[in-house]
Amino acid sequence: MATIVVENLSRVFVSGGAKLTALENLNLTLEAGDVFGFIGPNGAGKTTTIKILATLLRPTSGTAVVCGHDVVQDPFAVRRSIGYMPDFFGVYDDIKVWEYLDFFAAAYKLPRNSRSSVIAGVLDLTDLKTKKEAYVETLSRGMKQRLCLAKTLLHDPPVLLLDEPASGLDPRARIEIRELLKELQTMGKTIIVSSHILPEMEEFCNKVGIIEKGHLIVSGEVKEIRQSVRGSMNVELRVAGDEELATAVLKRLSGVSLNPAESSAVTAGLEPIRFVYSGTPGSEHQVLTSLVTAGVKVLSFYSPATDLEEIFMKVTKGAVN
Amino acid sequence: MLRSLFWDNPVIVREFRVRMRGARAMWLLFWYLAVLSIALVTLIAGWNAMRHAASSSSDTSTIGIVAFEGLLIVQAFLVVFITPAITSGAITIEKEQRTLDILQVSGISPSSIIIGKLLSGVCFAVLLTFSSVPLFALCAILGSVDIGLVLNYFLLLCAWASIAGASGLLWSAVARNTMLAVLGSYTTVLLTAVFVLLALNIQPATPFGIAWYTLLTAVGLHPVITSMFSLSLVGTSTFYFNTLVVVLLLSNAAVIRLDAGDGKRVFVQRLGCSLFMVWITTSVMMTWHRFSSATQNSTSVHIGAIAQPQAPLLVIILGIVVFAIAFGTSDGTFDYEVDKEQRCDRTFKRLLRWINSDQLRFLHVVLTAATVLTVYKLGHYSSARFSLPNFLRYLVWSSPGGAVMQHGTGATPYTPFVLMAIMMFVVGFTLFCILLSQITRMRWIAVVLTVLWLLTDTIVPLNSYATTGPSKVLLYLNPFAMTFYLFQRSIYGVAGMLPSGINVASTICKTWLVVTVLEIAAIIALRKVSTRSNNHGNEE
Ligand SMILES: Nc1ncnc2c1ncn2[C@@H]1O[C@H](COP(=O)(O)OP(=O)(O)O)[C@@H](O)[C@H]1O
Ligand SMILES: [Mg+2]
Repeated sequence: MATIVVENLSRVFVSGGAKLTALENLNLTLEAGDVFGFIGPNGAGKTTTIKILATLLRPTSGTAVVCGHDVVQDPFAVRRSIGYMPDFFGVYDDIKVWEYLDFFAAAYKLPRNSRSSVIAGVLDLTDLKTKKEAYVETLSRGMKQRLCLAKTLLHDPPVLLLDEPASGLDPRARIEIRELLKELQTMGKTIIVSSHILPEMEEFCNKVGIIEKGHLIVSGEVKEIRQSVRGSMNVELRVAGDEELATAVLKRLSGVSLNPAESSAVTAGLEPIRFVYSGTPGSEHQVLTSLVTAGVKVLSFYSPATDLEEIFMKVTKGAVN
Repeated sequence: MLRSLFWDNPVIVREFRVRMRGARAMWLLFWYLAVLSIALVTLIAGWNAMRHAASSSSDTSTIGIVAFEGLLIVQAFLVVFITPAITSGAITIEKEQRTLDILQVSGISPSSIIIGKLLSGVCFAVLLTFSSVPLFALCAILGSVDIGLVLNYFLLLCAWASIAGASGLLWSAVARNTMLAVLGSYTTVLLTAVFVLLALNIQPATPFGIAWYTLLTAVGLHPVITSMFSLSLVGTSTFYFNTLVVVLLLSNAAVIRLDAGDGKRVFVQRLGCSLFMVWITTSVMMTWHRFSSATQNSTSVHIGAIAQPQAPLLVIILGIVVFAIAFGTSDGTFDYEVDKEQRCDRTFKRLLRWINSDQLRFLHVVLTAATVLTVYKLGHYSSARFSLPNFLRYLVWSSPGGAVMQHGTGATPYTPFVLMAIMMFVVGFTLFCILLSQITRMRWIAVVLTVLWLLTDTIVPLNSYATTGPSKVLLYLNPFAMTFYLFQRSIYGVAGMLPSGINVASTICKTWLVVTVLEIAAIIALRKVSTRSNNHGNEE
């Protein structure tokens, strides 16, 4: 069953007469148990999308349905089934950690007598047990982030919307958040995690979407995307001595384009020759055959695996960070 | 429901936990009591000096009352300025420290937030007030201060604190930041004070006075608010009732603002609808009150009721404005992406959504109650008493050619009831339009048809003044035309006999019946449309 269905979602901000399309015709379907990495540079529209799903912003057009409830028609039903963690958030002054959680437990209308056990549970999960009696404003940033995550888990929502949960954290805190997310994934929740940094997503997302300037450029299973982006493929070639011959052969072949540096000057020593192969996927071997028959002493012919970062660079044309 | 609003309201619990934590609250308490003590000492010293200057042997018992009243004024001033200071930051500070989003998605209802914030603000004001009880006790010791008087004044302070707090809260929900909210709240408090002072000095009976109160009614939307400016009512049960109405109005507006989120147009529309409904409800209540008192004792008619002759016009203007807002502005949020050909469909959908809204439901309940009340009230004037059989008889008799139920008195003051009938007319008109557009699938044809129907049915009998022949039949057939007819009579004050068979109660009953039938039909149409569009979705 699809837990999140977004159809043709658009949002236009009007400020001072100027119109800004923050989101245009976004389509997305997520099943229960999916972990969706929502990637894009700053200002791409990630927060806007997540806020619409969290019923905090109204869409200009299009629909979004979360757990069977429309975000515009039935916002309160949606709110009951999501846990939302904003990209920036504050905490109340003069309040203790357990009081903070108790406050939200009451807001979620958890029964009074079960509140303390639920609070103990989420504190345990987020590793904040020792801080139960501490004042919230004395916590470190990473702890506050975990506390916010703890509060989104109070009512055990099937859907989690996490907007840049790891931003502004030191590496250690970042790893802690990542571990926590992996644990939530095993609990079978549908999770949307946005980020403008890639490597932190790769480990635990089974789906990704890359958004830029309000357009969802690619989205789908990580595996499939890797495959489709591989359409053009980077190849590193090492030869013994006769680079000039090799480049000459490569230049003649169709579907091969050399990097400008390689095509002009002869590369020195054991620096690999890099070229992009954009012919039929799976028939790279023909290039190798041509090289060998031309008498080039090929040492290695190697295509590094496409990682998310590379996909991202390709589709966003280098507009990251 | 009530439990989660009051007893188990997390906002209240948190505010109560946190409010007295830290040094801030203690300092506020300290300065509050310090100012009051200084005021008290100054008052007593001043009174003593005056007594010495006059060197008369006036009795010392008045010092108690002088000190008491002085203290009360200072305290009222403090409370009215401290409460909005607390509440006007209630929402904006949450926005600024970025906790509002989290709070809202936690599924807590906007009413819980607003009630929690209002109660905690007002409770703090009450706490301040009660902390000053020893000073008031001192006044009592000085003499001639009745404990009942003290309690009454405390109640009065609470009422003022609630109003000031609620207006601060509304500003907080509307304003972009705390500074603007505080500014807005204090401006409101000051303007209200100026209004009260002005209202004190204006004679209600003069033409200027009538114009003034009409303006107040228009601005404040209702005689209830106008009567807030009448000092003679302060402290009476009417005053507390009106205070409650005003506090509810303000808080309701704040709730709507929170609920609408970033949809500004949605806020304006819903606020308009809710104000209109409150206005109608209280109008009916005031009219009821006015009639009950007018029959016993004509001098006890309230100041607010002076504006009553202008009321039908105001209703119409307001009604037009509200409906223009509700239907004229196209709110981007609810617009579906549709082609030009489908445009009539889109408008239709919007209307259907309105039909399905709680506002309309509420309106209908109010109208039904008002209809029953009207029949009951008019029954007083005629010989027939209110009873279920009589009510049913009215419904039956209002059919074309039905029997006539003549009034006992010719001078039935039916203006306010016509007002209600107009209301129903507007609702009925809209519903009729919707139904027609459902049948014809073309919105403009529907509107044109409806208007034609109204024109032939309404203008013809109105212009001819004819109460005989075909136009009379038209009058019988169309309750809306009857409404217009009655309305015209009330505006021009056409006196004398009503044409036989036309009777206010039956008209209202009939209109109500038609509106109800239309509404039910429209709801059925809505169900059909929604299932149809769902099927569409499945096929695709
Ligand atoms: N309230 C707003 N008013 C006007 N423009 C906004 C508002 N919120 C976001 N935007 C604009 O919408 C675009 C998308 O923003 P956002 O969704 O926050 O991006 P991201 O989270 O991917 O960094 C940005 O260009 C931003 O300036
Ligand atoms: Mg963002």
